[in-house]
Amino acid sequence: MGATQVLMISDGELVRRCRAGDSVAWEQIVHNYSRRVYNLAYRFTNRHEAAEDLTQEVFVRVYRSLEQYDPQAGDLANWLMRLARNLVIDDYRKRVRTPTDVGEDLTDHEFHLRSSTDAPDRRVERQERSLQVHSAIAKLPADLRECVILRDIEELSYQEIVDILNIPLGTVKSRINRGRIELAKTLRRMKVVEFI
Amino acid sequence: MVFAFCQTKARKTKTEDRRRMNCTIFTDKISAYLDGEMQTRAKAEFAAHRLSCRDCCALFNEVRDTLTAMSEYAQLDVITNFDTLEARIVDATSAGEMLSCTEFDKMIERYFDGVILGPTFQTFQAHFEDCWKCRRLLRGIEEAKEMLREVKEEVEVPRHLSRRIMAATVGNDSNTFFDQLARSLKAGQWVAAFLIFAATGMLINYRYGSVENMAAQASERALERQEQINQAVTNTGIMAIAGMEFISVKLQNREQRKKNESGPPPAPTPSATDHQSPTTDHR
Repeated sequence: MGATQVLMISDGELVRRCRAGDSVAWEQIVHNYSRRVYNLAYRFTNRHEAAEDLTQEVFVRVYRSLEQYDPQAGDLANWLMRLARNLVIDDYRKRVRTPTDVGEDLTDHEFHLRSSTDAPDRRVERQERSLQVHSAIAKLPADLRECVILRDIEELSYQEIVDILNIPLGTVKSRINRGRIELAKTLRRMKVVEFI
Repeated sequence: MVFAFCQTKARKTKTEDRRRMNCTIFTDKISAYLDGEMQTRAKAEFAAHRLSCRDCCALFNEVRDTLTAMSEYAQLDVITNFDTLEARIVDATSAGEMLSCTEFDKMIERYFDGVILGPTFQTFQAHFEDCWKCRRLLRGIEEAKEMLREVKEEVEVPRHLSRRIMAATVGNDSNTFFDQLARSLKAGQWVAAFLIFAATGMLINYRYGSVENMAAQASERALERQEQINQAVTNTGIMAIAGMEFISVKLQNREQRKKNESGPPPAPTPSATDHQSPTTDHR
């Protein structure tokens, strides 16, 4: 009920209310951003459970850091997603260094378009293709994969990627290029690219 | 001739371009081209190579199509039960378990200073309700603070403390003999001193009637004593003068006797006579 009441409230106001102890405002922030954070986490983890855990961890961190957020310094979305990306990348690198034997649950992948005017058959086709893209990304080497996701899915600039990954600009450019070529070759083998 | 020169030059430039943009460089530059990060001249070389090299052209098209597919993929959301996820997050961020006992301990000071803001305070409160150990700790601190507030009586400061402080700071130790005596004497010693004083007073009263009488008598006796001393001094002086006269007479007699025993003096030389004569005459 509270979520609908504060639907039109700005992020700055939501944060102010949260700081004042308004739990409804916090629920609204979770509602507004959980989907985006979850998708980011899922694209790196490829597992629903891991993505949910990571999303929860991100919001716990956000909740604790809410006092540090300065509305004058930028949007809540930017601040929250920057925090989320850092956490997700940290987790991803940790998992790459110490891989577990848990496989990816690619068979359970299901996607839906946020807004689409496509015909149902066209929509299904796009969903299938996205599933294959997801599988192809999952096959990329870890260092290429994080760069490609941040550039082509999160749509960050080269410099933002440099800041997050803490690697030189030349390395970022090189990895993005190699990642895209690798992805293209994988998709060609999967007969995805030729359909477009 | 000019035309032939231009043709040769154009051919040379094309060869250099081809040499500069080979397949390896083209592959490296695909993303830079697609992201619009190439200079005009480099872009032209890239486009020229794409037209001339079939393999590179195919690779370029595949990468471009991949980006389109990625863009579609980025528009899709993973399907999951977001209501459950949101509820889980809200639970996790509201429950007392979110805060560890160590973190709670760190926040206690801020709590008593009243500077914990909303969401953190809720977490703090939730942990307080859930954790009996932290509850006991916080209540213990509150009770201790209350007890401190209630204690209003001041502890008596030792009398010599100020002197000690002065001595330790400015070095002005006001310990006189009587101060030290007063500190060193105990109560029993004080009683004994008082009794001696009282007995002395009674003795004076019994003997002289009063202190004034005792003082008058003492004064008279002192005057008498003074006179006696003066008289003694005078007598001593007289005796001393008499003694001196007696001694001088004795000495004169002794010299006279010595002169008589030694006989008349030898005849003096003229020079000696001249020299001695005034003295002899004088004698």
